[in-house]
Amino acid sequence: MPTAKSPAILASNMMKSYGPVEAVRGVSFSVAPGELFGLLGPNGSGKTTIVRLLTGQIRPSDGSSRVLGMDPAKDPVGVRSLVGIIPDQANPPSFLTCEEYLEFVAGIRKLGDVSGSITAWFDFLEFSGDRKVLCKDLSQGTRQKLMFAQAFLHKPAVAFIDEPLINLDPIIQEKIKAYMKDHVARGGTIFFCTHALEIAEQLCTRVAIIEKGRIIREGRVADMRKRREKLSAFFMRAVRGR
Amino acid sequence: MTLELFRAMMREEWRIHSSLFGSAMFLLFPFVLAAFSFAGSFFLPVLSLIVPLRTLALLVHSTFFLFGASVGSFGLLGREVLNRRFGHASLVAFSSRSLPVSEREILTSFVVKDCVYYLALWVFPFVLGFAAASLAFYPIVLHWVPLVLLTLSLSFLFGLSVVFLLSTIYVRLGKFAAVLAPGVIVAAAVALRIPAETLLPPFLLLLGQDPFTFVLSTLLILVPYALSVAFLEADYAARERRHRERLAGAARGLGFARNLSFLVAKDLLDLYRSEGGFGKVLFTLLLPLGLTSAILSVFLKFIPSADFLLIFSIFLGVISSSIYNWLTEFDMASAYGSTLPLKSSDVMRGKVFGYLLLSPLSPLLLLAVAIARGSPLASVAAALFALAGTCAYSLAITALLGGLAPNILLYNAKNFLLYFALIAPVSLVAFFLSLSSAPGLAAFCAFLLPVSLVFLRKAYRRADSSEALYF
Ligand SMILES: Nc1ncnc2c1ncn2[C@@H]1O[C@H](COP(=O)(O)OP(=O)(O)O)[C@@H](O)[C@H]1O
Ligand SMILES: [Mg+2]
Repeated sequence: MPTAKSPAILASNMMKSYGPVEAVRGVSFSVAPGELFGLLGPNGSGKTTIVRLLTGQIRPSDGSSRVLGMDPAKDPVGVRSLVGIIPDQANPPSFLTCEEYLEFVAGIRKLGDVSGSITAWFDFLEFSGDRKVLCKDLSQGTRQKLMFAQAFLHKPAVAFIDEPLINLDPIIQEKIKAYMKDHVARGGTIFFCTHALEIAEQLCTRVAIIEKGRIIREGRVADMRKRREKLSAFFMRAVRGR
Repeated sequence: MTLELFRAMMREEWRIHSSLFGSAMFLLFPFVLAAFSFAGSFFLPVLSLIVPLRTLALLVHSTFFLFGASVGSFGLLGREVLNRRFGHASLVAFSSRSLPVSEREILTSFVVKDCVYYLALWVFPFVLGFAAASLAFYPIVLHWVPLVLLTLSLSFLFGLSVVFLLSTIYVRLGKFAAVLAPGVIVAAAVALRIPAETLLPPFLLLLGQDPFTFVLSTLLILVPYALSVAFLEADYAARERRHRERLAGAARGLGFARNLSFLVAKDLLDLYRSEGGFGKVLFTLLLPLGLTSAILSVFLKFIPSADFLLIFSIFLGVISSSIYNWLTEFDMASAYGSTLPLKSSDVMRGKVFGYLLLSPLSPLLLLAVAIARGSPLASVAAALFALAGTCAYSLAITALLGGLAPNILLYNAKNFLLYFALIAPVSLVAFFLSLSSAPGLAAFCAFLLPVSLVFLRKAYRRADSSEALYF
């Protein structure tokens, strides 16, 4: 377990290119335990690639990173066994029911009997009615609820969330926001990618703005509030100021 | 609108294949196939000494009919398969639910797209290779080329549309009717002593070359298809069925698979719950086996020393890797890596384990054939050895070259050639040994077991070193 001082996530000069495409061009940052860190940027700026690098789904072309002290390039399975991930594309196995999918996740993660917490998730996100429906027949919104439950089932120390709230109705959105805030208040860490600035403004403690694979600006949301600056203004200033 | 939809689907299909292994390797695929059929044409004069040309032509046409039928059954599944593989977002057919297009138009575009792809990828290259050979070496048969192109394409489409009709009957009238309908037709043909080839009008067209047969063949393709589309609706509407919880129990039952138990349980549930259930595994084994048995029984009349059962076991072994293909059909490696602490090789190990659970199917089939033919015990024992070796070998090669998506990676020209280069020589050695010495064959196939293990290890390593998880 990292001490209060060691960062939950650390990236040093991380790069990733796909042939001629430089998706991430030397990115460095650090996220402390208890932070809700927002990575904000337009489509195609490299957010998803960074999540994939930090969770060991792909290896960096250069640079390195640490998640909870582990190197995701060297021990991707070790990192993924500790963290929770909501990927940008939700693809739960089609022919399992929602309930079975969560049991599957628990089985792979060796969580033991989780039937109680599975029921709690169905109640909390209000989709008990879909408990026995196959994942392939789910609506986009229900699929996102399921992916949220899946990521937090094992109460991970660090969670990576890639654009999760898009298809959810306002009530569920509020519940999820409250859950995320509570999670970090209790010492958890959330790495949150989005291009929805309003949501980031309500949730994040700190944000970084990424454009074309580079982080161009970083700031604490509390400082912006002190300056009475809207996050959208901060964002525009960062993008325009280059 | 329909045309646009069709174009979008074509582009999507192209993108899926070319993004996986580069457009060059995808484009090369039909040329490789043409080269094979070109080379194969040189055996035609030799073959025609053994088997009458007419019988050969009938075999080729039946093959294309069955090929169409299997594409049709995959296509039906395809709606499900594509849905889970590419998600709602990228599959045009599913995203177009929001467009003002009827489901009929979507299905028609889908089917036409599949036809175009399969005709371009398989049927045309096959005929062109044959055409090139005849152009160079037997100019006499050149006028056959356009005709053969037509009759083979029609055979393929006929198979496709028959399966479509059967599936509609299945959905509308039930399992029983779907089995009964073709059963009655075949029984009537046998009772009335109608020759088998009459049931395949495109082949009659090759023989007779008359307009009546052409119209008949075309109608036999269009009418079943029109009927299937007319009665489509109910089957296409999303059925939101509820399912009993089975995974945890299944995983407990599979406890001996240890840390793979949940993966194996999930794979088996996928197979069981998707259209066709476990039956489709048997079907994909029986279909090619029926055909090869028919071909074998024609050829073996001319090779007195051949033991049908031994050769059958080699074929069965090579084909049996389709069980593995089925287990890979219902999920994406990326879905695991993007959320769970699993390596690609773990997922692959789970599928190999699932294969082992289902693999007794092959020896059971072999024994059924042995009993039906009254094969001697020594021959059965050697055949079982041959089966074990070839099964293991073809599984290992499929896992090595096809990874977790063998049904897609086959269309990579390089993989296709490698698959052939690794499977064909081994099958040929086994074949020649089966003619000369049954113990030799058994020994050779026993030797294949450790070889397969080495290739399988390599397949696991390769799966983990690859980043291309995104399908
Ligand atoms: N597998 C890949 N192959 C090639 N290019 C890719 C791949 N993944 C991402 N890219 C490219 O990298 C850039 C960043 O993509 P991504 O990280 O998905 O951005 P974001 O999540 O911010 O929208 C884009 O230009 C995208 O096209
Ligand atoms: Mg993204």
